[in-house]
Amino acid sequence: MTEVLVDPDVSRLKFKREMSRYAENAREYRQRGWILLKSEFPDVEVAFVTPHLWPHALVFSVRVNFSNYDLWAPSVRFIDPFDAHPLTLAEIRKKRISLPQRQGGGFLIGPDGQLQAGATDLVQADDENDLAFVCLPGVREYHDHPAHSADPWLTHRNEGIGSLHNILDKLHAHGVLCVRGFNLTIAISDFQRMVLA
Amino acid sequence: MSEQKKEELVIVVNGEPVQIEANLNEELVAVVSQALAKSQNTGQPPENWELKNASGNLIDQHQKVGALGLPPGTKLFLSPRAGVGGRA
Repeated sequence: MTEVLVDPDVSRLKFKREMSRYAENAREYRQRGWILLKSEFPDVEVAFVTPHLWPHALVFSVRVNFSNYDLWAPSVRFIDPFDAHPLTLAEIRKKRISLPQRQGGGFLIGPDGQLQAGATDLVQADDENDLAFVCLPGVREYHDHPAHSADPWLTHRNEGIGSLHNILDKLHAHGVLCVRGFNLTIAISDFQRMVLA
Repeated sequence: MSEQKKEELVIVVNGEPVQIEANLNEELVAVVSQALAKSQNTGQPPENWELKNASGNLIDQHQKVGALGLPPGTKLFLSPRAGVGGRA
């Protein structure tokens, strides 16, 4: 269970503010392919779809958690869009989800869909059976990780990097906009016979 | 003296919409500065923010507002530049 360090009414109010901003831009977000699955304090669940490609693909879904916000940064976990269970790194790799980033900005992903030399993946975990997280400033798991102890959240708290908009915007930029095409073969080989009364 | 042509734009700063009256002859960076000041996001300079269109594609802030040919009331989106991550 999450320890309560901030008056839940305060975090709830800040959560409501984030969601009311989301509502103000809901039309544009939907056009970007952001599908709001659930919004119930302290969690928001959003699925990311590729509106610029056909067939549209649901690339990944996340749960953003605002517990103890904003003494803590929001937590971001990848979830299964159908049963909402949080995904381990092994499950993420199986689904071929990656958020490539090149040092100095930009993306570097090859025609085979694999990360190329010089690119790092923002999807991380210490072990493949651990829950995957997004390794980016403004995300709780990044700031809590020992590798980033010199970059504490409280020094970023007023920069806006922990807002719902910014987190979803970065996930979209690194995980959806960089998907330029699919190479897949689909064959529906067996339809169940249906008898209409 | 010729009258300065202006246009209403909506700049969404980190999710919060801000109405801006933009001069068509000025660079977008001036619009970004106005939007940051109006939304009280003055902690970081405009170059530390990314300007994007509704689809999420980056816009060069050194273009003139008029060069984009935006219809009045167009929404543009500002968010902080991402830091470097991915090396846990």
